[in-house]
Parts: sequence; C-alpha cells; structure tokens
Amino acid sequence: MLKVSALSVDIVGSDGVAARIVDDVSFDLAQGETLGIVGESGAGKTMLALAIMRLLPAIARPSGEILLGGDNLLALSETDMCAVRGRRIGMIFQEPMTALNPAQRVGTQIAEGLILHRSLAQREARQQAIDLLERVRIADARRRVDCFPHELSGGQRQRVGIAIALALRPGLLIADEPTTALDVTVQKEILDILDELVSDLRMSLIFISHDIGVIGRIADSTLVMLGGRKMEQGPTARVLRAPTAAYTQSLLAAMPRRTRGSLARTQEPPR
Amino acid sequence: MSGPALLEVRHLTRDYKLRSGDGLAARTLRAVDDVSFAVEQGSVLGIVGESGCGKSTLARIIMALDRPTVGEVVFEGESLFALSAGALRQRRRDFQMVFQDPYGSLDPRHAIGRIVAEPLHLGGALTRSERTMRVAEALEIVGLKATDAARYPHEFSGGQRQRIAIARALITRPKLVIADEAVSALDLSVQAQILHLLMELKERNRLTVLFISHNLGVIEEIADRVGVMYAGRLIEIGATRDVLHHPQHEYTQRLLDAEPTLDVIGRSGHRSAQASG
Repeated sequence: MLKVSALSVDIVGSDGVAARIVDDVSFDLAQGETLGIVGESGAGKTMLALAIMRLLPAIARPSGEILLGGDNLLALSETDMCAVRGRRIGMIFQEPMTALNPAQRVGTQIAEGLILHRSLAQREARQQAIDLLERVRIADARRRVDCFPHELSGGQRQRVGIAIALALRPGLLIADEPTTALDVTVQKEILDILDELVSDLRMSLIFISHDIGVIGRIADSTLVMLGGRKMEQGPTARVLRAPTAAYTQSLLAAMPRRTRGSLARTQEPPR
Repeated sequence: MSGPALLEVRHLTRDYKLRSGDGLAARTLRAVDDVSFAVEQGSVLGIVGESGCGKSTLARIIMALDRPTVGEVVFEGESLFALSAGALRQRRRDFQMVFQDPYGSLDPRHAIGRIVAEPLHLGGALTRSERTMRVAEALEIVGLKATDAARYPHEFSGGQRQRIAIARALITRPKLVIADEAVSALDLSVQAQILHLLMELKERNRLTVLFISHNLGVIEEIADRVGVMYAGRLIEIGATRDVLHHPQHEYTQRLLDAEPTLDVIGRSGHRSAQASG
C-alpha cells in the first residue's frame, strides 16, 4: 500500500550548503503490516515520517518517491495533500500534552476531522467521537468526551491522540514515539490498543521508536536507521535475533541484560 | 546488610497541601508515605517506580532540599534535619545529585570549569590553583579532559553533558550521589557508557549511589539492592536479583510484565495473553 523509493531529505542552510538528513531510504509496507523504525537520536526517523506526511519544515527538500496507493505524495499539490492527511494517513505524536489543543474539549478535537472531511453534523460527529473513545478503551467515554486535555492522564491523552488519528479510518497510521513519554504499564495498554486496531481494521502502521524492546513487541518487520541511512531491514525476529548490520549488533549489545532477554547469554555489553 | 549504613531513612512522610480552585476544601496529598530503608557504604540502591510514585520527592528530602512532614534522614549517624544551618551546609558536600536532563541542568552561559567548580563553595576557601586542580581531577574521573574546562555546554553531546554533571557531583568528593533518572534521556549506547562509569566509581572510589529510575533493565544492571515505590510507599525492597526474579508484591510483577523484552518478539506472543488471540 505504501512504497517509499530512494527517499532523501536535504536541509539547505542559509549559505546554500545542504546537509542530507535522510539518505536514500527505500521500503515497502503491505496492507495490515506493522513496520518498526528504530534508531538513536538524529537517525532521521522523525524526518522520514514528516516527509511521508509532507509536513517537513520549509528548509527541508525531499527527493525520491513516496507512493501511496499509486499516488506519488511528493508530487501532489498542497490541496490534494490536505485530503491525504487524516483521511488516508493518520499521525500519532510523542507528546500527548502538546499534540492536543489545551483550550478545546477532546470531543471537539476528535470531531473536527469528521465535520471537515465527512461533513457530519455536530450531533453525529459527537456520537462518533464517543464511539472512537470507546474503541481506544477510554472508560466512561460519554462523560470524558467533554473533558479538556488537562483533566486526563498522560495515557488517556495518548488514547485521544489515537482516536483523532483513527477518526477518518485512514489505511495507514504513523506513530512517532507514541509511548516514549508514558509509564511502562500504560505503554503496554497503548501497544495492545494499536495492535488490536491494526488486526481488526487491517490498518498498516509505521511505528517509530528508539526502544528496541517496544519495536520487538509490535513490529512485523523492522528497519534500523543511523545517520539518515537504512542500516538493515527484515522480519523483526530476524533483525533482532540475527542482525547483519554491525550497528544493529552494537545497539542490541547496549541494551540492559533484562531487556535483551535470552540474547543476553550470547552478547556482552561494550566496555 | 553487611557493612555499616551510610544513609538511613526512617519513616519518611511528606504531605503536600493542595489548594482547590475555589479555595474551599483543601486536600492533602501524601507524596511519600512512611518510607524506611538503609544504604550500605559502597553499594548502589535502585529505586524504581512510575510517574507520581514519590521517587523524586524522596530524593529531594534526602538531599535536604525539602523537609519531611514526619521522619528523619540519618547520614553517618547524624540526623540531617537536627543539624544547625551551618553544620548542614558543611554536610552537603557529602551528598550530591545528578539530574535527568543534561541540557537543562547545565547553565549554557558558563564555561564547564565554572559549572563543575560550583559545589566547591560548600567546602570553604580554596586557592585558584587548587580549584583548577580539583576541576581537572573531576573531569578526568568521568573520562573528559582537563582542557574541556574552558569550553561551553553547547559544545558537548548529551552523554558528555551527563559526564559533566557527574563531574560536578563528584568535585566535593561526596560519599553519596543521588542519580535521578540520570540516564533516561540518553541514547542506548550512551546510557551503557554512563552506567559503566557509575559502576566504576562505585568499585574504585567506594561511592554510594541512590539510583532512581523507571527502567527495570537499567536498575538490574547497576543496583545491588532495589526498592519498589508505588503511590508514595516503598512496597518492596531487597537484593536486586530477588526482587526482579521473585517479586513479592503484585505491583512489582505487573511492572516486570509490562516491560518489553526481546524474549517475546512479534505480535503473536504479545497477543497470546488475550483470549481472542
């Protein structure tokens, strides 16, 4: 459903010198598949996601091809791209506090896309917002729909973020470090919800994280990035259990023993 | 516990008064609830728990940056809050802190030398050359160069900044360092280096560390003993191996289960817990 070919992103400074922050990355994503993108800070993970959403900062120049169901997103007009965002690709961000509007009730924020894109009436949109909140397992959705973000916990806010991304039933969800700001027990709940959505609705998911443990849990296939480049890609179990790239091996070796699990017996941390 | 306790915390409780919006019924939040433990000299005690469990409030009280509502902090047999202001000031050089954010905790306008030397004012008068020597010594302990003293925080990476923060904590030659989520903001490979540095300091300098983290994997790497906090209470404490492999408390088990490990890869393993699979 998504085919990214030779995608590069250059940042052009005021002196005209370009820095390549995403360098010749290609991958395919099938319907219903979850792709994990893992790497450390500065690897280019977020820039890759923003390039797909066409939300890169103005100084960034993407090149290559991003095919979504046959449309090259990099060639679309901004107007056409607006119809893609939300409707065909939903995005979930890391910080559920800053991604939500603090001055608007969460129901209004979920309904916004439904009213804009689907021309639903207020009442219908509200009912759908409640359904969506139930879908992401928010208890007492009928009451919570009228809450402001500050009245919700971090985990609940991230569920609202997922509900917004889900509202227009896009075929593709991009989640950029969606559980990084959350406690592990809450993280587990969010991963369960995402997993269920992908299975039940046959959505495709790009899950970006620096956390290899989380990637191992959710992703069918995994792409490892360093310095804007793809280091390796393959089925998650293969990449994490038998990595071919030296960088993946060093990442795994740097993990705490507990998180590495059974791998701990074969690999020692760097000195 | 075999050796003498460097730090002992007895029945610590900290209440915060919450003002409600309308100024009527004020509630009390018990951030730390009857916490007691002891830390042996030269050992690492890990404190693990999720946001809001009281870990950082506990750290602030042990650092004498906040006072408990009830209870006492005993350092080498002396109750910190019974000390005079002057004596407490003298004592402060024995316990130092390393914070989570290596960007927020270093003043960007000051050179590294000045940042690292700052706690030295606790130790009384030193000559200029003594100060320079102490700064160089601290920077070298954490794997930086003496010449780095002239540079500024923005010239360093996140991991190097955390080394600078550790150098600042070590410059008074403290007996106890409290590290509050000190590696949480770092990339994995850098995190491993900083953990290794702390373990080296423990071995070589008999440094005692109170290591606060939400990450069980990190705690297992570094801590000799671990205490688990939940809703302000210390619900379990013991040797790290025992607590992580044979947890006594249901919440500890829940924490362990929630943390992803590479033992189970893929959604099938993940979903097997659900009946519908």
